[in-house]
Amino acid sequence: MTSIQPLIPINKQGWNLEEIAEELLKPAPAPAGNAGSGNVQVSDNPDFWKVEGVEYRNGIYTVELAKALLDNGNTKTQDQWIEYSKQVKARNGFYTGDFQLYHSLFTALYKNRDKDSARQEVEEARKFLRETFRKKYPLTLTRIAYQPRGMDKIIHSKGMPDEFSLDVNFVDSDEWVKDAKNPAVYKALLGSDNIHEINNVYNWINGTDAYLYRLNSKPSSIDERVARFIADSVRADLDCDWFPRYSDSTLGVRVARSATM
Amino acid sequence: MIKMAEENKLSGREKVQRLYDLIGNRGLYVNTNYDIFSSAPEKVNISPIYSVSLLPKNSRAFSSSLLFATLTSLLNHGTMLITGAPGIGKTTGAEVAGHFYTGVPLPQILEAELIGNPQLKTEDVTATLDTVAMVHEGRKKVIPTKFLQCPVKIGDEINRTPSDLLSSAMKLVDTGKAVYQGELLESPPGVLFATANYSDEGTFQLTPPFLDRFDVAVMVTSPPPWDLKKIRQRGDEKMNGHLEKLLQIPEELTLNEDDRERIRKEISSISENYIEDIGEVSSFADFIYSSLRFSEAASDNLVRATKGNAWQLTQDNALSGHFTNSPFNYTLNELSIRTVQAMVRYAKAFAWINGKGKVELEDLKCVLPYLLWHKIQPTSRALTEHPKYANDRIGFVEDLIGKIETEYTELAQGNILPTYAVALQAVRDSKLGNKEFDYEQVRNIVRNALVKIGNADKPYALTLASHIASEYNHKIMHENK
Repeated sequence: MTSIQPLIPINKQGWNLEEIAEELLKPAPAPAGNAGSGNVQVSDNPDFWKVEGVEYRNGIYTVELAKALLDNGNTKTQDQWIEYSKQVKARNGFYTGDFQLYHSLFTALYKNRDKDSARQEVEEARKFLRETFRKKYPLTLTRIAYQPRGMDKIIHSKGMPDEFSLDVNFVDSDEWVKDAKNPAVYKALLGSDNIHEINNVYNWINGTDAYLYRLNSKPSSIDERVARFIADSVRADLDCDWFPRYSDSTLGVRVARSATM
Repeated sequence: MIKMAEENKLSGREKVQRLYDLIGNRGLYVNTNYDIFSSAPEKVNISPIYSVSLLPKNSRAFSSSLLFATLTSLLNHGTMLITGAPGIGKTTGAEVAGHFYTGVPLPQILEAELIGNPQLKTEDVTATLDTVAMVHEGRKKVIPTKFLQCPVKIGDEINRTPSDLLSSAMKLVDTGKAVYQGELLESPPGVLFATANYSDEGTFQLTPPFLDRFDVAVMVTSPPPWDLKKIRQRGDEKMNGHLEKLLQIPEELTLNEDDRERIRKEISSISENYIEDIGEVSSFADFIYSSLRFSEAASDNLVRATKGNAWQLTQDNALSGHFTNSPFNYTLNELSIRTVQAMVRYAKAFAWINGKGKVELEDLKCVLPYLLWHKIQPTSRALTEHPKYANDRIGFVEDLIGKIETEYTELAQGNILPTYAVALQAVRDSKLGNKEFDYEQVRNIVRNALVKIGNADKPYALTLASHIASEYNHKIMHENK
């Protein structure tokens, strides 16, 4: 046995190290969110746009985006959308996605906006998104648990079987995405730290630069907020400051894994 | 009677504490500009900018110049730089501390003193040849200088001599050894004090390698007005003053070599708190070292991304990098191993003089500014954000340590440490609890841990990830044998 020791003291109380080891034994995750490879196919269906080849988390996915808001555009709280999504997903229906999934989808559409075979479908999807962002403020299954101390927790696919979370120092002043101070924030939130591309995606959708809303100072106790999209003629907001008790509409997606990257 | 005398005998610490007070009470070195506290003081704001400190009960306040002169005098080959304006007692403080804590008579210290000047030669520092012996006896005989032989070495106004001329003196001080005309000379264990006035037309810039040889440095401030009365009471040497009497060391307070050796043993044996074999104080010192070591400007290769390798493109002239808010952006240079060793040494010495059985993080934080300010070069960003740091380098270091401590707390409270712990344990033991891991599983754990830790996107995460990789590679090599 060698004398391998940590560099700083580690208080292991409260941690289930065996559980962490189990997690680390899983296949290594590939970088997420660099969506939009050259193999993306966009096709039109009566009720949805089908986008194949979306790079999301650790694989290539086919993502279908419903042409209508979920549940006929009714509004629900995030917790209610979680329950709704669990039920419809079990029946292979459209459900609510998280920020990383939506961003991967938007990026794939953006990167293929000039592709002859998909130009019309992509443009229709863009218009739908722009309209929805500006009028319906669709919320997502991403929740931010702002911490009084240490790093904040970004929880994606909140409440769903594939829920996962990432730790990052998220509390800071609001900012234009193009002036991002800490790309790690966007990596955790959207799965990409390509700041230039992120801004371009939302500029393409809404015709304005993207803007990040968040808590600007550390809360005295854990403060959970919901992430949603909002837009107007001035900016496209990544709103990470919304209250879980309020209701909004949501975009419907359906996802199938195509391959492992 | 003998038993009574033994019982009344003072411990080394008590002697040192009483000598410290005696030097002040006799007016030999009076400065009640208290700037170091054994416990965190209460800060009372007395203006929009300034505050004063109030000492908690059962605590001690020190003047940094006399405190560090005391502690440095007790160590083997301790080195201390004393800076400040002319005529405020820099040299006097060194002479007095040297005399009281080593027992070397003041005249002997004065005879051995080096006075900085541009013409200083090796012969002034180390030794000369005995020309009489050469002529009459036909043999080469080396005569060590008084400076070399004296346990208390004072280099006065050291920056009036170019640094390269002083390098041989500093090597001597560092190691206690010097070579002259092919002959190895040894200096007795002791202390070196160097004084330096702030820059003027007659001074040279002290180079970073030269400054690095000083374990500790203080900025002496002029005594506050309420101390002047005490200084006057000491008597005026120019008016039949009685300095000799004031320099007498009471017999019961005299420190002999046995006392000093015991004191060094006591200091050395002071322990720190451990969490699973990892010392709180030494690991924080290592974290400071690590935080200032990294340089994004140096290289895209993590192994070479250190300040020491940022020799052309520095944190000052490189374009803004990825980690814009990290503490490493505020210094041009990194810390030497010598400095890291001094950190724990002085933290222990400070805990010792305060009568503590254990050294704590607070002890290290008290002494750190004085161990680092003369060595760390602030970047232009640091000086742009706080122009007064051009003068107040101690304030700069205090601020910098605060930034580093914030990152340390963030790391300690964040979620990457358990991942780091699991990966290290998997590498070390190939098992966790009852679960054993084969080669592929260990590699997978390591690979996943590296990615997860890297996602924290902080320089300290790079260090932890690199550590795991290094230990893993070491293990693989070991298994190959």
